[in-house]
Amino acid sequence: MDLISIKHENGLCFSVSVRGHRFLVDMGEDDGGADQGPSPAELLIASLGSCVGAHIVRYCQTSKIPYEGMELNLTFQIADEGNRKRISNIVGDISLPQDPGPRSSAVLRAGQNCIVRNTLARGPEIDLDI
Amino acid sequence: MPQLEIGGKAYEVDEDGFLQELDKWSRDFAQGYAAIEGIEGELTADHWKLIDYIRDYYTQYGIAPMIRKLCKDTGLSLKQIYELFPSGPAKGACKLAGLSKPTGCV
Repeated sequence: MDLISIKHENGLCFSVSVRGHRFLVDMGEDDGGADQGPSPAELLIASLGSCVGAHIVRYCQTSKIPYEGMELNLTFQIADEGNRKRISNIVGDISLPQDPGPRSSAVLRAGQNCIVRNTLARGPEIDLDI
Repeated sequence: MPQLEIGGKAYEVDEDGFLQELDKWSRDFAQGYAAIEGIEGELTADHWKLIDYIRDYYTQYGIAPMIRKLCKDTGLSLKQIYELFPSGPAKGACKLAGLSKPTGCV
């Protein structure tokens, strides 16, 4: 795996560098940031949506199902359990250019089998150190 | 407790602007709050469909509905809901519906 580097820029803003790409992550103004980019939680949901989308595209390509212009819309809720906030619920709508009809469930299965969803569903081991 | 003035009436709200007294809610409150929330013009039938659904659900169950249930029961997609309430179902629709700040649901 490539190294993903996170560097503090200002306030609550960090730049992310990976494989030559660079973008900013920040908190919204309501949460004390300067809103210079998506929040970490939003990025996580965007990652999930993009991953689901990529897997659906792959399935549609092999199954000859139209997918160009496909759209995914997601939202999430935060549960505040004392000092431990977490994303408690993620909801997503997937729109394809044409209704896949009886193949809808297969399309959905393809999306649900993506690496990010599988990771969230199982909960990876996270090992951080200073 | 912060107060919000809409149409010449004062309403007690929390720090996020959610109404603290459910029984003080009125359709005039929702319409007046819409302008503060950046919703231009009169609330449409779809706005009211969502607001009424959320209030009915809250009256029945004591909590705000889950988003997926909100979508299914109103027939509106997530995208449509965010087009109607740009700050989202919780910060937008529930606020106009006069609910206290939702936790865990919409």
